[in-house]
Amino acid sequence: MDFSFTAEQARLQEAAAAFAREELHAGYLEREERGEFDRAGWNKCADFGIQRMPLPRKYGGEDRDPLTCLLVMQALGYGCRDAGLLFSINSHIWTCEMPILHFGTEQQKEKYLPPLARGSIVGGHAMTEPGSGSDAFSLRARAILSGDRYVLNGTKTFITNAPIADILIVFARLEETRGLSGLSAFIVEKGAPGFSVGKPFGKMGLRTSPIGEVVLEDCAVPIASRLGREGAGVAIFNAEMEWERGCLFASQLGAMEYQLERCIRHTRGGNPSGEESRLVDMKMRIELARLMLYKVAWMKMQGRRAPVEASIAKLYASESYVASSLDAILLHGGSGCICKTEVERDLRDAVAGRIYSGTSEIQRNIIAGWLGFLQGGKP
Amino acid sequence: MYIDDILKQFIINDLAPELKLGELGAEDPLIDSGVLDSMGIMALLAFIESKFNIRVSDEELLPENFGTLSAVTRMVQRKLDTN
Repeated sequence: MDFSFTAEQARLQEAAAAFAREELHAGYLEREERGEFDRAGWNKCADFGIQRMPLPRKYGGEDRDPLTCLLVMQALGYGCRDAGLLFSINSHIWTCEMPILHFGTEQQKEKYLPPLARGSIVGGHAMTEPGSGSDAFSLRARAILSGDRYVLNGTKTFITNAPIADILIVFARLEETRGLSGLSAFIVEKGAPGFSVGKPFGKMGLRTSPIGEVVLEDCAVPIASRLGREGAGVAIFNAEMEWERGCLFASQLGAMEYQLERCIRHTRGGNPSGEESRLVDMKMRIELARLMLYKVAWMKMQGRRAPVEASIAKLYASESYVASSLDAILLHGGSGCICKTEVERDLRDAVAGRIYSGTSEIQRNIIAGWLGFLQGGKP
Repeated sequence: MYIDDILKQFIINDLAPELKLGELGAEDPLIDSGVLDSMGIMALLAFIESKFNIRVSDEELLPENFGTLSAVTRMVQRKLDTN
């Protein structure tokens, strides 16, 4: 096995960490308090090339391989304290750019990928509904084919980037279909008739990432806006989640690395008695999460599907970040609970990681399924 | 064993233990009837790739390829023929 990086990967990772440290900090604490998205930071990331990393050059991308993308996301997580901004960028890339790249028509790719790559438009996807959180495929949104249009009706909630998105990939079930076979995806542009977005939710963490509700009321979209074939919704969603579970959590890995360095400095400066074991646990979590995330990237580079590996990586990385964030607070004692020390914020940002992209319980179900425990529990 | 027998046995043994061998016909709906849910499709996919040493792309995870036992059999046969 080869655990080394190419010179270009190492250079890019270092450059991304330095960029994040130097360019994405100004005014962050005030924005975090106000729950305000950093559009200027978004644009800086676009100039640096973040949003275009995985896309082919013909669509304005940089054609970076999955491991390189993951390393850059890790570096951003290490250098940038604005986890909300990184969350929005990850959602834009993995749940909007990638499905259009893999499932879109040439016309859709030419229309949407270049501006998504430049960051001049913001993307996301809309799957979750008020009544279908963990059981995402039981969604109620409906699509009816009417002449040369699909008419969409339904309500989506907890939609990352919705308040700032120019396009969303909306999942809905075709009328007259049952089960999963009618689940389809549609590219819906902001401003489409019958499409409206609620105000951003106030949140405990990831406060600078705008998340809100989407309402579709007789929202008519052209047939050409359907992404993939009718019934391709499961394939599109599963593919999206694999990318997101593998790459988004690389940013958490980077954040954990920064967190550990900070805790080591703090502990060395005081009385470390009895606290070393927390630091050891934090280090082990980082190393194990790293191995699993890199394995997912490696499998994607082989052109292989990695649903179980991505679930394991997501489950482990997200739960590790929560555990290490709690350890970081305890290591700092009372000061760890004070907002201005910026120690407690990691925990607030970390908790949602156990929920989005499929809860920890969903990941365990997926892994259990692979072990032979499906539905009726028959091994 | 033929491809369809192998697939049928896997579906009944691992995905739908409530079904008996004779209860799953070649054209019976797998997805619309709930025999295959989202995790079941992925499990069947993993089984197919491993058992027949073929690759199925994300873009091929469609009802037309997984909707019935005969559809899955045709897809597997097609891939084996082109390998």
